[in-house]
Amino acid sequence: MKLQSRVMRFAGVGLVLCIVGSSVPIHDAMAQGNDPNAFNRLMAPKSSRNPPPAEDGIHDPGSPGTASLQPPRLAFDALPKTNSGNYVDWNKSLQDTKIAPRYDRLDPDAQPVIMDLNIVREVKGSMPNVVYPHKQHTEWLDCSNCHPAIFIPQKGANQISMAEILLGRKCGVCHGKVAFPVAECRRCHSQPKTPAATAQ
Amino acid sequence: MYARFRNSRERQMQHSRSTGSIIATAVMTLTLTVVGTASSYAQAQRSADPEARVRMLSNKLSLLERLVSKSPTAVRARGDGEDVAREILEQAEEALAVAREVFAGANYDSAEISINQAFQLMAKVSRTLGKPKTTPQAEQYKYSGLHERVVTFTNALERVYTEKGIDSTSEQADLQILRHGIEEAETLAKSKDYRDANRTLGSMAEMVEIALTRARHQETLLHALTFESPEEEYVYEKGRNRSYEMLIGLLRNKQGVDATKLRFFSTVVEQNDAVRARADTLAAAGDLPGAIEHLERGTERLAKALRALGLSF
Amino acid sequence: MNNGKTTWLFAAVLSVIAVLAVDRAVFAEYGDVVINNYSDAAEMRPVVFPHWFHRIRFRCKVCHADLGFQFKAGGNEINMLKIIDGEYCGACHNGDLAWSVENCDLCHSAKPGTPTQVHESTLQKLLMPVAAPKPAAQ
Repeated sequence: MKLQSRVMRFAGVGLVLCIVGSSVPIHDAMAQGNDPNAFNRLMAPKSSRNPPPAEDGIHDPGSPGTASLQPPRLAFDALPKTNSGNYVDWNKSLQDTKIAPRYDRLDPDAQPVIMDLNIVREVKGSMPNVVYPHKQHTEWLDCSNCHPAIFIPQKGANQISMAEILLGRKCGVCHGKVAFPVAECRRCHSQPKTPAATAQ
Repeated sequence: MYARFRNSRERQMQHSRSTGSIIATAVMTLTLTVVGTASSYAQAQRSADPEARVRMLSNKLSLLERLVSKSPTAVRARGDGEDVAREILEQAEEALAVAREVFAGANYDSAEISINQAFQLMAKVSRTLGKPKTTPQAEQYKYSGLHERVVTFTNALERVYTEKGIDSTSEQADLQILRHGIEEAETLAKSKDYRDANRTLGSMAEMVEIALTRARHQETLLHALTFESPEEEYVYEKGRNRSYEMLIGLLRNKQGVDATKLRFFSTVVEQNDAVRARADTLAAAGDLPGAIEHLERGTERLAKALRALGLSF
Repeated sequence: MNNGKTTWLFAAVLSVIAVLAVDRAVFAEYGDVVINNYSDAAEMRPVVFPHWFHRIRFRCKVCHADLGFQFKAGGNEINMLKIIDGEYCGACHNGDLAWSVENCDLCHSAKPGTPTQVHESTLQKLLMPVAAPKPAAQ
């Protein structure tokens, strides 16, 4: 009798967990369908974040190279986390010297010329203004990467909208492709408007 | 399991405990076997595909043939005065010959070794030769980008100095040097000497970038949404509306599969076209503030529609 | 083994089976660039360039300003001859700074036929067909 109830208990728990466990990955498919309660597509469940190359959907598991490639999770374990993109806070990693990427191909000690200039772009509506920090960008990039091809270094000369960013222009040339995507509004829209401005 | 039993009830529980743990262990073993077999199967598949390996080696061999005979590295190495590089190239040719022979004899392990050796030797040849000389076209292309950048930055620097009222001799001297450098480069470019022009512009670029960094150190610039005239604001609003319209268009072309979605797309686009038309009418009649407000609301509706279509921003 | 622990173990094991058994859509590493300009024609697997791995070792400027890589997947005329010549990838993958070109499979590791793309980019996710269950290569 005792054994039977034990087995029943196990089976019950197991069944519940099978159902729960299998529903977690399926929501990905539903999110792209016509489900009105679909979750934000940009948020992957933790279990499917940073999969190893053999399971990531683009690497060919049949290629001998795929098995030799370092799984991202191994590298990301020691780095501070965020909620989007690679799920790693690269700027913080650099600041905390958890990584030490070279600024020059051959010289490991070359230091970047960092420009510390903030540009505050006022936006229409009630969203906080955007603060663009040159400092964090010039730690990684050269002036020529953005100026003048992507951004004209002159006030009023660049028309930027969320649509353009999503289309992959202006900020969207990197953000949404290799730098963190526009999943967290406050990372850019970080300067609240003064009450007088919002009241307008 | 080895604890003392206080009463018979405990003894009974202990009995079921051990049976339960046996079941759990059995299931665990089964799972691990399944998972283990899956991964080892994958592994087996990876290594036990001899055909793929032979194909890969054959690909590598044909690439090597091209590299050793026709690549820019090989051509340069056979040129005058490159004795060290030529020696290494000859070693690579030997390794390739061995590889060819051994591959033909179906000795794939040795073939792989010789092929890899040949590749490494070719890389060594290229390292010995150093960076290749850039072509005139590449230099010309580089010049156009560099020139635009240096001119843009110099203008920006001038604006900064004017804005701050800096007219001390050293800053003005910097500007003079930059202007002079640009002129010099332009003259060189006119006579097709892009290489020297780029050299001059390169140092000008460094100079102006450092000057701008110093001039704007730890500042915050506000790009306020102030327009010099209602016309300007109207143009800005139209541009903003257009950018969202483009996004809808893109989504419609790629996503609109079922009838409901297509209808929704068309409605949204039609509504937006009506908004733009109305705004244009208002603007033509002189009511620019009205036109601007109309457009703003239209854009807001567009953004809402995009969010309803699944875009999250 | 006692009562509570066994149940939990069993539960954990079954969840593992459940998650593994279900064929799920996976999200590949963000920022991986698949380059398939000439690979299909040459009967090689397309190239996967992992930004994250290189970002840990080099700042953006090194490749995108110094080595001339354009900000465009497939927008750089890269071929094996140029790589051996020390251009583009070959500037580091020459046996000196990083491993050399005989390790074909480390780069050429994408599923055959994968189109050139920046994997998991916002634009790619936006343009996914509505009914597709997998967000990978379309």
